Amino acid sequence: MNDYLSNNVKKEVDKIKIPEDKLDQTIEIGIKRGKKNQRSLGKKVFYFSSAAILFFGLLIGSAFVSPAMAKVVSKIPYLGQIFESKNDIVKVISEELRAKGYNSTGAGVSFPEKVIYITIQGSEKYFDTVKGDVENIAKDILQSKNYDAYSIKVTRYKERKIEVDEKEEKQSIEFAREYDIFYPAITKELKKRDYNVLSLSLNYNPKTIEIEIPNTETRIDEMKKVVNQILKANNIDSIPLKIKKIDMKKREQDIRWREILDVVSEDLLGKKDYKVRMVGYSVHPEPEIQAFITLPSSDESAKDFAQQLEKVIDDFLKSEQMKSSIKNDPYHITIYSKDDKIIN
Amino acid sequence: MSAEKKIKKARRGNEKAFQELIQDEKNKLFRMAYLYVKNEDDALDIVQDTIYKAYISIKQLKDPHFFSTWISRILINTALDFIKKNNRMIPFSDVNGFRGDSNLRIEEKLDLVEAIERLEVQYKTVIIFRYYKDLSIKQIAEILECPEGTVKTRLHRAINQLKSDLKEECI
Repeated sequence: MNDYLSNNVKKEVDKIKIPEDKLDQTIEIGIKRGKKNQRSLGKKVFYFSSAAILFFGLLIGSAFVSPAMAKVVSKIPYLGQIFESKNDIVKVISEELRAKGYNSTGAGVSFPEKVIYITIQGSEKYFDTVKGDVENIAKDILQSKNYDAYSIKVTRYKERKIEVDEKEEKQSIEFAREYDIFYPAITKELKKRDYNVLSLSLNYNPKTIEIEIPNTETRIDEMKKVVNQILKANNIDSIPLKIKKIDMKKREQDIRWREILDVVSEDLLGKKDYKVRMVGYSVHPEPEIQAFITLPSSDESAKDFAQQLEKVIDDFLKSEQMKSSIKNDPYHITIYSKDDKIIN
Repeated sequence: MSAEKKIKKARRGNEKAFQELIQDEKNKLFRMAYLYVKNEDDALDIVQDTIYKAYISIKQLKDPHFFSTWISRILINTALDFIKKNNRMIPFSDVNGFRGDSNLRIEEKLDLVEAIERLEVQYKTVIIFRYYKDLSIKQIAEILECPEGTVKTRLHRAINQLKSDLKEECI
């Protein structure tokens, strides 16, 4: 009987028919319920931690008043972290790996897949021994920041031979020679004449010189003449000159908003709850933060979600810490659905 | 990715890893639930509750080797709760009478699954763990939190019961 059962129970029970679609659906619902439950747990943690922060606030506050208290406070470690500036997650991971002495050549992240690629240099044997550790370190870092949206891929660095076309090689050497001659000459000359030049660059293919100037600078024709003279004086064929006028105010704004985006995107991209696959920004004509989410516009909840997301971002931008970066610029937030339609 | 790694990931809150783990177990889970409640809808309900419970408590799973056992245990406890709550368990005496009838009608065959379904809950549980999940007596005793002797007795009785139910078949 024992043998009969061990041989047949599995065989027979496995004949029970599985309603596959319903089963998959049921599993999904089960997990969703589980996630909801966890979120409410998160709230509890939030309340607890706000109480803790309040307590710390009082503690530090009293440290300023009482020297005795200050001594007590100085014994509590890790407080410094709160004031540390946010840092790019990829940078954090690669620095940590370097600090721990791994031969990692680099780390990068791909969007919208959100895969963090880490490459390790060394023999196959070395790679096999450290791969697991590297992966765990990276995971711990993600975990510590609660970034659940990223996955990690560790690969071995393979040297690639770059094929060199001789003709191209020759051209580029020639190009470099010309550049070495005229670049210092032009900068010196333009400086001498007190032109306001932001940048000077030589493009290779097609060959052009590009000069960026503030749009307040008016002596453009003069400048062109000067450059051509210098080229002639050095026996270099004349090169088309492109002058780019830069609106300095816009440029400053552009830089500022790029930084704002960096700060905002950390969490938006890092946490699954936000459902954000990509972010972007623009300052033309007005500053704008763009978020591309994973919900299609046909999804009923997409609109509600987009509005909530907008509010979350808006609240963040209006916060005290962001005030100095935003400088009262008017801005808007645009949320794009999966099919790239504006849905907020 | 090995199962162990998946479990570790799942414990850290990785939903995808958890889903993959469930994919490997889902059919077994459904079939076990089915053995208890004998209908698809209730079995699905039990599976859903099981997955919910597993998801929120996977952090408590100490030894990643035993994911399958662990989730089976949750399932069976869920099934038992379900039966208690819904009072759908058919008292043993009724089953006896019922079985007599059906035996007369379908003379030659009472299949194994049916026979297992008709077992009393405590016998059913040991049979499922022992022969469907291949657990040892010791493991079953740990899961059910009862002495090994009890497991052995129940198993013995369950087998006798099955034997008498299946005696028309050539064993």
